[in-house]
Amino acid sequence: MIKYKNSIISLLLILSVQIVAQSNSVYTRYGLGDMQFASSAQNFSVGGFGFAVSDSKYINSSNPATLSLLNTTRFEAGVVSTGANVSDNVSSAFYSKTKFSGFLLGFPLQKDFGIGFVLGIVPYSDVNYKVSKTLESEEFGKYSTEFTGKGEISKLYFGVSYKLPFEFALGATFEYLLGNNDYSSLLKFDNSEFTNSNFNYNYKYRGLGTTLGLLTPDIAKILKSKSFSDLRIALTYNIFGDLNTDTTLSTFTSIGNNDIQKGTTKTKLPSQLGFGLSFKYNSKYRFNLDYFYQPWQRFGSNTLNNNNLQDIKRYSLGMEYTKATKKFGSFWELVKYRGGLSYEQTQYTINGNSINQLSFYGGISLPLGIKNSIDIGIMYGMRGNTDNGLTKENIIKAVFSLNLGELWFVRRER
Amino acid sequence: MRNRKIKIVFFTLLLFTVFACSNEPTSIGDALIPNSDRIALEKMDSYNNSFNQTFSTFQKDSLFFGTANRVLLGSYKNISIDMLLGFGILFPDSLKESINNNEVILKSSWIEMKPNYWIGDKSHLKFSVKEINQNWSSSSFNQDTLNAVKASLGDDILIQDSYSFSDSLIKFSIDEQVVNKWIKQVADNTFALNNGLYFTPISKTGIVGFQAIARFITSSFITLNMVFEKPGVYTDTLKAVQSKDMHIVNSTEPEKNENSLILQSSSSVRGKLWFDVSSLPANAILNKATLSLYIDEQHTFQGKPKTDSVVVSFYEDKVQNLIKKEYGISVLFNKTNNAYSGDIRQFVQRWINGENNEGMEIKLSDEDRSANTIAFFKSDYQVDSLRPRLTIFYTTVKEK
Repeated sequence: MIKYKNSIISLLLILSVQIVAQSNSVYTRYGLGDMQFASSAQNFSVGGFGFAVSDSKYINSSNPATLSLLNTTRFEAGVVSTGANVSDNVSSAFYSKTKFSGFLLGFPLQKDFGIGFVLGIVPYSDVNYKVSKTLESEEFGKYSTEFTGKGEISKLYFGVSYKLPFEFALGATFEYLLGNNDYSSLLKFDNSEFTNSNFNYNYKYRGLGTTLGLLTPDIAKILKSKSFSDLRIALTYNIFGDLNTDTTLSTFTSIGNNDIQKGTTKTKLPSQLGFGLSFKYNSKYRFNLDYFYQPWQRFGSNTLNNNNLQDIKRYSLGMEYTKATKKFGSFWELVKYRGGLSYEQTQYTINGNSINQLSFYGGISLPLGIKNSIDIGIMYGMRGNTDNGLTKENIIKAVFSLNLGELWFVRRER
Repeated sequence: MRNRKIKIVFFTLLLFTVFACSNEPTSIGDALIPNSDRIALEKMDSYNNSFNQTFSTFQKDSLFFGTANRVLLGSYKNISIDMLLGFGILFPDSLKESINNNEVILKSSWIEMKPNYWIGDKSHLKFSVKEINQNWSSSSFNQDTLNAVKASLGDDILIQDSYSFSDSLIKFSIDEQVVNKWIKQVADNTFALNNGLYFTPISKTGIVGFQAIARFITSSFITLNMVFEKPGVYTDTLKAVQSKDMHIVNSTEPEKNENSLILQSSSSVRGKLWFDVSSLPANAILNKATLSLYIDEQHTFQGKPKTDSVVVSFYEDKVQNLIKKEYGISVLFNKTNNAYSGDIRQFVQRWINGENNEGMEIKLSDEDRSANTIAFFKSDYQVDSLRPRLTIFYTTVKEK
């Protein structure tokens, strides 16, 4: 691990800066914006989750029960690049951005009891849009309106797992959400006689939550199947207490900044339910099916419009192929190929139109030795349509993850 | 080999981070912005809307003008102005010695004053000039000083025959004994100090203004001209310019009328104007707020030059007449057609942001250097469009 120290530090330094650029989805104006489901390329490229995927070479951040299968200390970090061609029924434009997708550090503490530990920080939700329009009136001349939303909520967490009787595994993470979202409305006059108007709402969120995960034993073993292996079912449930939300309305006027409303409110965050099935076929193929549900209709905030929210229902399917059936092999034998698709009823519903997303995934894992890999996941997704003033987004998203593994906490023999 | 691969991957990631492209914002998605985010542009005009307003006048108590850039003298309508003047006389050492030895004599002396302002008839200006025998300073002048100065005054020393007037010059002589005394005092400081002259208007037909003391001496300063002669050797003229000056205003209340309120320079009659802007939303941003004060020409009397602007200030306490002393808290209104207009968006913004709305003080910008009178139509004047008019452009968003 020491030999990678410099590389890891360099990577973190690069990624510690939110990368400049802009993505643009006005849908993120509603709720808390887009949910960030997968932080690693491995989860991402098999449809976004993989609740039941139990690969000891990865930290599966979607289900803490999978920590029970970790056999080495693992570190994961990465970046995510998003490009979207956004169009309405008149025009289209391309936007992109790249940002840090978080890091995770996990290690086994006691293998017999399946006690694993993880800590990390991953993105939870993301708001990013900027819309500008030029208008003209007799009284004011030319002026433009500009609506901007930006911000991110991150999840800082640690978690443990424990092996239950009959090889069931239970995991729990303890999470702290923090971040802030800014929504600004700007009116700019061409005529310098008028002071521009800028109204800015800032919401600072913080709150505690937990995720519980359950993972079954390898059912294929119980069934004594020869073709199937690692057949597991997973269930996760995430719940957050009401988020403390510091709300400030600031105006930028001819006499300077003015915080005209300030206060702390509560934001009720809907819980999340995940269900997954995963199995290996012929030792070379791994399949996973996942379902995710989050009732955004229960999102409660007296300051953010939730008439345009509906429950997230997300279905995904993924697979992974590797030529090697053993730990060792040539570089190309150890390469893993991944693919998947997902269909999601997103949390957005605009004027009765449900905004849905269909996505296709691909990915590759490039080995760096036995325990380490570079993982790349790519998604092409289509969200929304151009009817009734909506926008259609053709999204390309790429996740790059660095996965490093090392034996830690090994007592040297004297 | 493995390290090389890692480096390649880092480099690739770095490229992604640096070259992530972006676009300028477009109108795509504008229809998705909720109405609660949209900015409403509104206009309120006291001409159409029911802003309550009050407009009144008051007289500022301090009438000593020691720092003005013009000194005034004369009497016109309700205003009478006295002028105090001191000359700074400087001689070369050789002349001082000759004076002490009585080798030179003051052959003649006279005072020249070049008017740069007048109201009324300046050609008939008459005044008395008396020697002040009491020390005074324009910076610390108060009623006690004035009483002491007046008590010290001697007789009128203006030599009436010497008085001459042209459009650009008033010239006269004073008793040469006084000038001689000043000259001796410069050469020998055991003599009494030169405390200058006190001018009092006699005519009531007009007020004249002259250049006051300034950092740099100009040709328009008031001068004391002295011609010295050393018999059989030389004749020389020396000039002394004013070293201290001020004017003191005595006034009665300006004549009132039904239609308008009178604001007056010198007598420092100022206005208090208040608009009720409480109907504006608390989160509004003021984009523009124009206040126009319409002139009642019938009751306006201006000299030359005219008052080109009025100063509108933010009241901290209208009862105590306290003005907020912050940068940019006063606005200069310039004259356009029949009104003085200016932008008071910062005032209105402060009021809706929660500062006490005590209204505004209005004064003529040349209050300390003219005797002009401007009449503004009242808040209840019968012609609505000529009342003080406040036009406000503001923006709001719906509170979330």
